[in-house]
Amino acid sequence: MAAVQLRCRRGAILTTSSSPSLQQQVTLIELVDRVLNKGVTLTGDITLSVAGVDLVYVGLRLLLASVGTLERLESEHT
Amino acid sequence: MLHLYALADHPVRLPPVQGIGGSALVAVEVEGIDAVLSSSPTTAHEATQEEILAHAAVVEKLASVNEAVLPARLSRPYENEIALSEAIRNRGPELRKALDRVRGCTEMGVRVIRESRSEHPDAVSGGEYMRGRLQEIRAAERVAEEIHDAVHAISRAETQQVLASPQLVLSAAYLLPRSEVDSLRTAVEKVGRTRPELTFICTGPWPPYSFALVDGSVGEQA
Repeated sequence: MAAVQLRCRRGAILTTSSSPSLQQQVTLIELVDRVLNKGVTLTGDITLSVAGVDLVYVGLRLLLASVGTLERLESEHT
Repeated sequence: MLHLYALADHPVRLPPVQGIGGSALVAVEVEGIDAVLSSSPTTAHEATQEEILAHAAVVEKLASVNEAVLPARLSRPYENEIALSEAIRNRGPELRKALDRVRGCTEMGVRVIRESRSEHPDAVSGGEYMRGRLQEIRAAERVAEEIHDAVHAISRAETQQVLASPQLVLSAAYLLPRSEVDSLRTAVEKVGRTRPELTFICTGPWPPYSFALVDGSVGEQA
């Protein structure tokens, strides 16, 4: 994840330092990091790739889509 | 194929949410540990954005209605119930120990970020570069130590990674009782005020993803 974080930060994230979007961006990166890289595995450490896109773009897409997507998911899954 | 979301104490309380692709959640008990699953239509080795969010949403809901939940990593689905049960049975003692560790606890993330700048512009020799680098590492370790000292009393376990990249001074996770979340935020803010040149960000509370590993690699506090 370190390389991804590096690329994320160079993706103009630090230019908005300490604005709410940095908090939001970090939260989403942390979410993706946890789901894909942390947590228990029972059959060895298999790291999934993310559907042909660089993880950083998933993070950015999550950010851009976050409010709407999360609300939609919330309503779909409850 | 079966998708695993989390392991929990039996009997697990299943929240009224759907799994990946709208699938139904089921619990399968193996020697006192419940595996929360849904059937998975794919055998894909790639995760989509929707799968990541759906997995995260299920784990979060599970953690909100159960005292002890070990989040599973989003990984390849399991062949069948027999394969999964066997995997759980083989690691039963470790998994029960991990469940005990996270019971009643939640996870908070802390990241300390340094503003972008050119790296060692004055370094003309390898020696100067190495000295500069060493200073950076020591400075980052001091920040890590300050935060450790500030939250030591309330956290039960922690993972800290120093300078994973030049701008990421610290990436840490803390396992702590749910009632201590605000205390951690306050403690980190307090450290942050003494170091205005750095950006301190707390995230969470998260389900204890960083403390679900059962291979003993997690640093536990005495």
